[in-house]
Amino acid sequence: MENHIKVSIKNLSLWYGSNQALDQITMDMPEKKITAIIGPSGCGKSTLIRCLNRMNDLIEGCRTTGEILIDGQNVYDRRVDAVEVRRRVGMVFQKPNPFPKSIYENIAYGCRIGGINTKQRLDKIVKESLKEAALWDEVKDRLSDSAMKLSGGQQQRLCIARTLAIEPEVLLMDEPCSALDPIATAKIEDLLRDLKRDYTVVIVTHNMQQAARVSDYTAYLYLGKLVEFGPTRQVFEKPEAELTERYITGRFG
Amino acid sequence: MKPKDALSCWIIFLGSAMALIGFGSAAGSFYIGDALLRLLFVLLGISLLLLLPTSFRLAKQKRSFCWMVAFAAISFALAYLVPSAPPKVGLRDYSIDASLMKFMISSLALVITGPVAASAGFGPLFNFTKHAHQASAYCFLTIAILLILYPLGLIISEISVNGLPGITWEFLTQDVSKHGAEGGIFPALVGTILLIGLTALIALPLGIGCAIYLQEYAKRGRLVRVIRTAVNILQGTPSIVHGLFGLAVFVPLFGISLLSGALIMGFLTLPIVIRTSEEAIRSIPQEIREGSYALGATQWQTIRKVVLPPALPGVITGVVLGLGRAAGETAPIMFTAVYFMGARVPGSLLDPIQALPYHLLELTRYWGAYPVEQNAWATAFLLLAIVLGINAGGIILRERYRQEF
Amino acid sequence: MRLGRNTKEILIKNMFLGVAALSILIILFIFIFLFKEAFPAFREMGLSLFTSDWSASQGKFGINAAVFGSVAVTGIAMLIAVPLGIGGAIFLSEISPPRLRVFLKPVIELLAGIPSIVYGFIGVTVFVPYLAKTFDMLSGYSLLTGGIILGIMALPTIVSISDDALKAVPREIKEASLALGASKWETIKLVTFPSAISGVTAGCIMGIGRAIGETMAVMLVVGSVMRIPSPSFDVFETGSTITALIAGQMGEAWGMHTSVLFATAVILFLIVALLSVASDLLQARVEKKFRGG
Repeated sequence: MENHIKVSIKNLSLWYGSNQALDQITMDMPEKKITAIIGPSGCGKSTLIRCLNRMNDLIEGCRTTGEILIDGQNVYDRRVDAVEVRRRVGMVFQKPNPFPKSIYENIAYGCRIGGINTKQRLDKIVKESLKEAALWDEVKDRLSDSAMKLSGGQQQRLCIARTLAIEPEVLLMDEPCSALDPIATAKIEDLLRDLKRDYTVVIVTHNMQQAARVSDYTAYLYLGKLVEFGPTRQVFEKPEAELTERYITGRFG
Repeated sequence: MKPKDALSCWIIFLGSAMALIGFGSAAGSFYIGDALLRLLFVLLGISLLLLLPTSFRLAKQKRSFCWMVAFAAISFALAYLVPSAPPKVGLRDYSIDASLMKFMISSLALVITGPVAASAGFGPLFNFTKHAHQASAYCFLTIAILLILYPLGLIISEISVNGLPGITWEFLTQDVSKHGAEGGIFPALVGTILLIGLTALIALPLGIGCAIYLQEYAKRGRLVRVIRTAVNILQGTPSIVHGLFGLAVFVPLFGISLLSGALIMGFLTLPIVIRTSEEAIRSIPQEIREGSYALGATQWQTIRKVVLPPALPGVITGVVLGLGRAAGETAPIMFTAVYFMGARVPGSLLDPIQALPYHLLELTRYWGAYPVEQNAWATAFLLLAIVLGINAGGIILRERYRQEF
Repeated sequence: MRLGRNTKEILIKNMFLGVAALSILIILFIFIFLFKEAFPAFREMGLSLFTSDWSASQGKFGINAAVFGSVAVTGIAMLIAVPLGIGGAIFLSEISPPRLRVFLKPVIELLAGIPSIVYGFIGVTVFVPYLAKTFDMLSGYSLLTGGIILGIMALPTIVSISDDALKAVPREIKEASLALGASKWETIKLVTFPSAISGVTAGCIMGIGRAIGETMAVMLVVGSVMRIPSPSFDVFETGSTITALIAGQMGEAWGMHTSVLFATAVILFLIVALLSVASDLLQARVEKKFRGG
């Protein structure tokens, strides 16, 4: 692969209590590309993506082995602070989850946490992130309204804008369209193509057409194991593993 | 951890320790003495001094620096002032025990300045990490929960230690005599049991009926809003107001009697029963009802055969919790149902009764005047055991029931 | 005669409606009957009820001292219970390990059930002598003692309700905050707590309502002296509260005296009802908040 490798997962295994959810996963995600993770439900897609920003740390009884290197630094290193990792690796969740605050405050939140407090800089960041998330034109006149008043699709784009505001290097998306209608989904997919210019994106999806449409690389996960990983066209047109082929052609899943 | 972080944490630890000691001594459990106190303050001051050179170099923000200096000043002032304060602080014609007072004041000052200085001052100044902020906050929250549990634990242990020896067979089965100084509490025990039983008979059907109406027949609308508001007001109504209501309405009708008391207690527990029953009925999934309707059942048949049976444990929980409250209430029955000495085990609904909470009230009033100590502690223990026992039953029932859904 | 199915259903429905409406009736009855008994006092005394002179034997019925006492005692109680209670609730819902929480939450709910007479008893036997010694007071009976006991009493209620409010904050928005690189404490401070603030306030208002209406625990320890201390902030003095006044004097009252006591009960009822409604409105706002709008 000609690109610089941004995220490199090495022998990653994960247990919830005594249940093994991920088994010896090894894959490399190139910089400024979209990597899609697909697979039947319960195969560990979300678990895998939540490892990248150490959100799994918050779950009681969760244990990991292996390494995840971002620009060569292991995020599971004992000296690395999970909170710092999350500032470098942004995440958008399955269900839109804006804070019950104003639109402006939703976006300013991450910056305030990071110590940016001047009104001028915040205004600029809010405007830029909303533009980047293609939401600026829809909300520019009502930044002080509650974010809960937006539609589901707008809320999800707000969540994306909120994540972009802290200038992450990697953007994780956990089935970002599963709670949205087709029009909102299309908008987010367009957005993803734009974001690719500046960010390394990892997207979990159960929608294979979506993976085929937007991603550059695709990983197929089954029962916690990585079955296949490669350029999207190759995975969809000439899958190497029989399991992948059966899933993609819709014989199970 | 970097050295300056460690030092900051150390200061926070010292501050918290002193706050804890201050509250502890205020609560009367221990007093560490002036010398040790002075040592603590001096340690705090020295730690701050160690930080000062760094703070000069790093003082980009004036505000932080001011906080820092203020905190150091307060600490040294306390170190100097506290032990040298006059032994008694005059307050009008009496005086306050000075050592305790100054200790409380100094610890209070620390409790207030500590976290503020820590987050407002040290934070930006030393690039205080998020973790240090978090550690200081958690420290204070842990102190809060300990301070909550301490007096409550104290109450329960005091009553158990003093009351348990008084629980004898004679105490449980004999009549009251000599203003409660001798004899037992048999009539009060029976009275309380009868009162609870009758209260259940009144509150159960009314509470469930109301809950069914609110959850099954009318979920919204103006009437429902009014009913809900009424239930909330009823829940908040002070028990003494219930007592006066009973005095004004039931006593003229039924006299001072078991029946009057039970009616009042029924009204008192009604909102608790309604609330819990509603929760239980609400937790029955809508699909189950729809399944029943789809088979051609009427609404009443659905409620009776499909909704109520699984909701029943939840409803019973509500009744149990309500009765736990009723068993311990004094104010509602003091003018409507009880006599202290004269009443015996009631022969009919219209006889007055004795009840444990009221008995305890009378014994407390005689405290110091008659030798009632042992019986009073024993009564308190018995009452506490009954009420907490009923409540524990209710809570266990609820936890078990919640797991099913 | 066999009723038609529909007739029967309607009958049953109306029967339940009747039962449900009973709560409204009880509230109305409480108010009407209290007011009826209190009416002579309101008519005869009018606004002179709100003076500071109380002497039942001379026919002087100014209830200001009791109102002052209730406010003072409740104020002290809230100074103790609100900060501690909120701190405890945050500990319980956000930072205690799940195993500890499973144990602590029922314990605190259980403690909320300790009868008020037991607090009163402990007040007389433990707190009064202790405070008398510590603060070198003439007797340990004072507004302060009442306030401290009420504060301890209100704690479990406030912790329990605030904990419910904090737990009701959806996990998703906490995760969102953490994913943006906030520490757990920043998340609590900036997201969880502000989101739960109306519920927490509702809990505190409920605590205030209960404290004002509490009888037994206060009556036994405030001293039941109908006098406003001077200077008025001197809470080391004995005093009385509305509830202590009613419970202490109703037994031997007659005529106008009784009526005045009922009048104070009407005032108490109105205050507490207002607080209930306020707490209710706040709680309704909580539910609305997370559903949008």
